[in-house]
Amino acid sequence: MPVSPASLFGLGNMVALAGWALLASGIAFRSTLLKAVGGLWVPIALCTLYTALIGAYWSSAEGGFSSLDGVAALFRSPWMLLAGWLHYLAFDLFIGAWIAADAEARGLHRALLIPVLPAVFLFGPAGLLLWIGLRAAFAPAAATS
Amino acid sequence: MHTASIILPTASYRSEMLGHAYRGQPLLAATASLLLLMMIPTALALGLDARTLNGVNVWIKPLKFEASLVVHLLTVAWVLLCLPPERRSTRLVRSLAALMAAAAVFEIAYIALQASRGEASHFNVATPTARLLYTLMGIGAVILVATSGWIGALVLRHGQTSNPVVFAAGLGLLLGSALGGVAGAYMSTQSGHWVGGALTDLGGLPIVGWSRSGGDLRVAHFVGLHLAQALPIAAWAATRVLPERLRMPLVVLVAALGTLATGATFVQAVLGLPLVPAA
Repeated sequence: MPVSPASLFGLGNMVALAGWALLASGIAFRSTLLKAVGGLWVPIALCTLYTALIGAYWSSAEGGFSSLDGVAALFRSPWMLLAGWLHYLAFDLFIGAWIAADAEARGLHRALLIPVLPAVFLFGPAGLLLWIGLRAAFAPAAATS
Repeated sequence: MHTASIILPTASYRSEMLGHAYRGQPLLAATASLLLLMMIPTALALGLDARTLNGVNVWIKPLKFEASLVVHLLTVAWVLLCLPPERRSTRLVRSLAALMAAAAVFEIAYIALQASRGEASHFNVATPTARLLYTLMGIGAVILVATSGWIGALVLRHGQTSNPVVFAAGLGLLLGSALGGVAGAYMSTQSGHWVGGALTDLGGLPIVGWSRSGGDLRVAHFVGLHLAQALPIAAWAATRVLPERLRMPLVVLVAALGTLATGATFVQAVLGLPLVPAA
């Protein structure tokens, strides 16, 4: 199979989806191993691929971070677009795992994660915001009950 | 120190009022707090989105419903403080609160989703899905007023109703749910909240948006529901300024006037008359 941005994109999506499934199973069955594999090792794999892509293609890509046009130019390179997508996949999954750990550390019920993790999966920052809001709203409730 | 507590100081900045609500009913206080926080991104969307529905920005409606449910859920949580602790943590009260919170979250979720799509939520019967969800919103609304009224009745039955504030809190919630519920139910049998006048919310009264060219069924719904706040506030004010023998009669008077005002604004709307006609 030739390595193309499109084939690595498919692979990245599959790996990330598997990561989310492992994380969710780890939360459901209270398995530290599954949570670690899904929420840490899978992001590590995605971050490794991202780092390699930046090393290989950053210098030849046009554009940069300093203007919206620059970012648009950067993402016209399929390799940079792929790297950007892997960034989303890795960070969203890692944030999902962090939220699960945060809920546990604060003694908040796992059921609160049911709307939050799909929101992080689909719309990362909105999901994180939802968790911060839920956490603030439910912390005193957990303290009084 | 946990890094997250630097990002959001959850414990130290919370007001005492909110603290009381959490003691009254933790789930309702938590749901209200969440909806209060959701008003921030909603208001931001209002500033960023140019789309309109019924002549006004699509995000006005989610913002109004969030504000309204924050007030309502906090009111119910505070009213529950009128019950002794063992009475407000029964399985019945917790079930009523869970139903109420679930209904509130569902209503807001669908109203916000439809706003983001630029489509109507209430009165939307354009597709089978929209029709089904509008029906579910109706069920949600019935759950909201039924559970609220029930809690009002529990306060009247088990609370220290010789105290005018407790009596007003229970009666306000029961009466407000009944009157607001009836006004809302009638509105749901119509095709919109306007009666005569221009079919737009553009040029309505500030904040509430009620029509100034014709009848608006939302007025009586609003007046009725807010007896839940008006009665206990009146009773609380009475304990400050009125002699003891006049306090209970004042609560009864406010309840009667509130019922009258709900009826009057309802009849006014049905006749197609605006609350405040356009100048």
